[in-house]
Amino acid sequence: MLKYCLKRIGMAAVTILIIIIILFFLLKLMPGSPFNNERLTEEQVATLNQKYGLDKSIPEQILVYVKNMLTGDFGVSYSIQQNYPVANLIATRYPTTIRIGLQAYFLGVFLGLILGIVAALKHNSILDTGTTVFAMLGSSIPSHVLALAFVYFLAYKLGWFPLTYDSSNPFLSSVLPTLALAISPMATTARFTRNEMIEVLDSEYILLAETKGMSRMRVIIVHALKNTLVPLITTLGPMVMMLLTGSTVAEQIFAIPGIGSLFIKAIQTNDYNVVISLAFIFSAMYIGIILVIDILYGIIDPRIRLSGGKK
Amino acid sequence: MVDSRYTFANQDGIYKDEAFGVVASWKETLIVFSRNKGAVFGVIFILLMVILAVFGPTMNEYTYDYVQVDRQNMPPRIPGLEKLGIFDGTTKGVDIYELKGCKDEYYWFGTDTLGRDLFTRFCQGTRISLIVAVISALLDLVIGVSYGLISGYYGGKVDMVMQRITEIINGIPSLVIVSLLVVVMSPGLASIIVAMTISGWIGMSRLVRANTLRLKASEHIMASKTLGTGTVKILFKEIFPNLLSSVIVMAMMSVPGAIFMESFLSFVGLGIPAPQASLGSLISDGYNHMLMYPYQLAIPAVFFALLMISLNLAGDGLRDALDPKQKRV
Amino acid sequence: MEEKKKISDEVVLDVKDVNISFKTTVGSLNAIRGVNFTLHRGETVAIVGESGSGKSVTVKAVMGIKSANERVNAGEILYTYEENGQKKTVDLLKFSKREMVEKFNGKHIAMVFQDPMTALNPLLTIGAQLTEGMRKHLKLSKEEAWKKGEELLREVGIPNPALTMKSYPHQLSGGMRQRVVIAIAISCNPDVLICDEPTTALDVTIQAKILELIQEMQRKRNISVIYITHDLGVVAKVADFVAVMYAGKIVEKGTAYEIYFKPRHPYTWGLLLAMPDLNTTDERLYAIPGTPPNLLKKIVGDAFAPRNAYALNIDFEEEPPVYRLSETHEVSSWLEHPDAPRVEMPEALVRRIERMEKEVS
Repeated sequence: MLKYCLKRIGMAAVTILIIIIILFFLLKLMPGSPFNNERLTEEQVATLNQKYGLDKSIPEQILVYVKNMLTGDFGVSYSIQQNYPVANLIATRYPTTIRIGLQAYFLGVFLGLILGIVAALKHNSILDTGTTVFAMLGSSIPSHVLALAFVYFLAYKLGWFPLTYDSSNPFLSSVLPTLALAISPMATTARFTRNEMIEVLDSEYILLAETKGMSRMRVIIVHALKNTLVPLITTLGPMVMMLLTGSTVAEQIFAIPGIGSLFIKAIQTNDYNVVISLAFIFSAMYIGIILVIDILYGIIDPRIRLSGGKK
Repeated sequence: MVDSRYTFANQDGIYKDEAFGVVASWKETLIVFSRNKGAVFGVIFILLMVILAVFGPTMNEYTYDYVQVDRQNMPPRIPGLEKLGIFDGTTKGVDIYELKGCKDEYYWFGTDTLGRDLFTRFCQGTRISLIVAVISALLDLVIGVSYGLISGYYGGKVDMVMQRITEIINGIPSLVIVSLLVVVMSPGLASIIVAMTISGWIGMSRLVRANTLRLKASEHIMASKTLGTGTVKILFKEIFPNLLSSVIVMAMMSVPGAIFMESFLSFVGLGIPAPQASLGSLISDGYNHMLMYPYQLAIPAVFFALLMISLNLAGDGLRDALDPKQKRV
Repeated sequence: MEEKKKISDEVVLDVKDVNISFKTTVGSLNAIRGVNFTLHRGETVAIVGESGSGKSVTVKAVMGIKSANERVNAGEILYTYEENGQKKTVDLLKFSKREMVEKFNGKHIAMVFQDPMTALNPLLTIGAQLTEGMRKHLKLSKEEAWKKGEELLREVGIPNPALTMKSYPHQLSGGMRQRVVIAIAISCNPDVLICDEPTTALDVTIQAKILELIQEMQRKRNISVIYITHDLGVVAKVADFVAVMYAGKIVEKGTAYEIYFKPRHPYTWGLLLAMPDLNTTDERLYAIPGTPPNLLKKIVGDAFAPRNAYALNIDFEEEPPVYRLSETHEVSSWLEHPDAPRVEMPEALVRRIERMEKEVS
């Protein structure tokens, strides 16, 4: 078990390191970045050189860069807010994104679970078909299209919710984005849960439990549910990924001051420092979450917990 | 008098093995697939979109980039349907066509802010989106299958190294990869395709690798090896055909992902540069005028959603039809 | 194996004229075309046949396990048991799945599955799975059930019962897992135990042990056992009564002695010859040529005829009736008809039977 955890943590750390290095080289490549801008004065060049060690050899530069990234020194913004520390820019916007993201995530997964379980139990009924259709729609239609639909109908036409994000009314104005973002995890969870549960219900150990004389309710709750939920954990990671993409666009549409819209703005204005820094943050978050989920899975599944990681 | 019924039937040991009413496997696949109404709908709709993509841009007299400033933002007008009161060129009761004095012109999906015919742009956009998606799906397939085959078949150190590389690439959210690449390479058809390919092949390679590992240990492969069949031959004649169905399904399922990525990029401003159109860029343009001219957004958005749904339905249907694990007895 | 077996009079299970079909994408598959046999108390019946003969479907029907596309066309399965000191007889086919689960499964009729790898829930401890049934049917408390569970594990020959109770299935070997499955099956003192190829997935060395274990449990608790197998060799030592199934019907049935030493149906001969035997001096291993028939089509005449070297013309026209050779021995073959030519067992089989007789005595 310990070996399993250490291996995973090691992998994650190495990956992050490699990512930072890749980002470093990308930064060098980008035209107009602070690293190769011709319009700088001698003084500015000297300051930059000192800060980033540009006059040193490449490996040393990499070291400096890695150190900077890991300690949160992301440099300054170039165009969004001239010379303003990127770290600060991110810090003010981060909480909003996280809040809405978490809301959408948990809401979606929770609802999806219920839907999926019920659909599996009433296999081939109208409810099942309905759930499958919903899951299909929810996972096919990209969240930005959904978000647009929501905005148009619920905010504009019906006026139930504010059109754009209003920080004076954080809860109400986060309802629409949360709903729009929740549909995707809800659909994915429902679909996965339904399929997994149907397969579990088909297993021989379920049959054995029935031949033991266990009631249907008991079989479902004690045997089937557990065996369905445990594999579900593996899908939670990739779902974060989808949420990330979705929130980027949702923030754009709802004018939410989060890191998603910051990312887009930075791309559009060629503010490379911000772009790279956010790329790093996204990657680090993603890797971190996957790591936590992997370890969690290792704890819950006795096949891994008790035999050193070999399934 | 011996009853001839009770004499030996004189079978000469020719025991025929009867075919069990087994339909040729591709035929059975087709039967199961066509039972799936959703899948059939999906295929029909996809075909419709393909037809529009291929023939659409030349269906009427407008081109996708023909700018007519005095024909800005005209609502859709379709001959025939306009008699029913929809698509009749009116906005809130006002006949815009009459207002602009062009009652003899028809813009089936309306026009955008530059007066370009939206129907043609829509078809052109569909064409681009589909091309991008299919090419990147194919590239993903080629790269993913080769990578997975090699990694799975050779195993050992080769596999370990290849898998580590995959894990690292996987650690970076594809959104990030794609955005970074497009920024570095500056937006355009090529850069989008490259970016999407880089992040997409991993899923395919994983699937192929898993199946290869499983098949490698199967008895008929071991038999082939014992007989001395060369590696390449084993790979292509034994392993690959068994992967075919899962690979096809996966390839099909990656197309919606590609279209989605492309639309996302367009929305964010990293997509196809103007005046070219793609479904994503149309949605993005439409979004900017959503409140004033909803049709500019609604039409591409609805078709886009339907296309995604169709691809998923068809892909699911295909998977179900090809899946031998289906309990059919 | 004794020549004349004392059979208890008490009938526990009476399977009568059962006919079952499955609806498939290519038609209706008549898997069971009329099966009859009885099970007496304390007796062991082995149902032997190739894959697809319908043996599994038959016993699953006894258990009440039906697939979604399964239809019972005809027949009864009469089960006689004791409830509150009263003897009751019911037709199991008439019950819904839920009723079977509530009333009979586990408590009166238990089942041992073929593959111990998949029969146990990987996420629950052995103890949890073992005590589940007892807590429900015998109304034991958690501690009592746990204790009884440990005793059961000891009984079935598991070396460290206390530790095993707390372990998970993946930590045990195949043989151990199968013992656990057996322990679970007998935990609530059922009347009938159904074993569906219980040793097929195990090593040969373990097979014998498992069979002995089942036999021991059976004697101790006076359970009636039904074995399903495709290998006549497996049940030679444990079966009292053998029924040979082919294409959804029983073609020959009798006591073990009658089937092994005095078989009359050509299919039975084929099965006996197909048993691998270390002492054989024959040049090749015998296999019944051809394959079982397509049950999607209606069978005219004897289903085995196309593969039967001794087939008569009438075998292709009419189904053979059942001929009684003794009180216990029945054959469904036209060769028993008075007008049919006298057919003797193949030489190879005669020799083999002589060898078997020598071994037994």
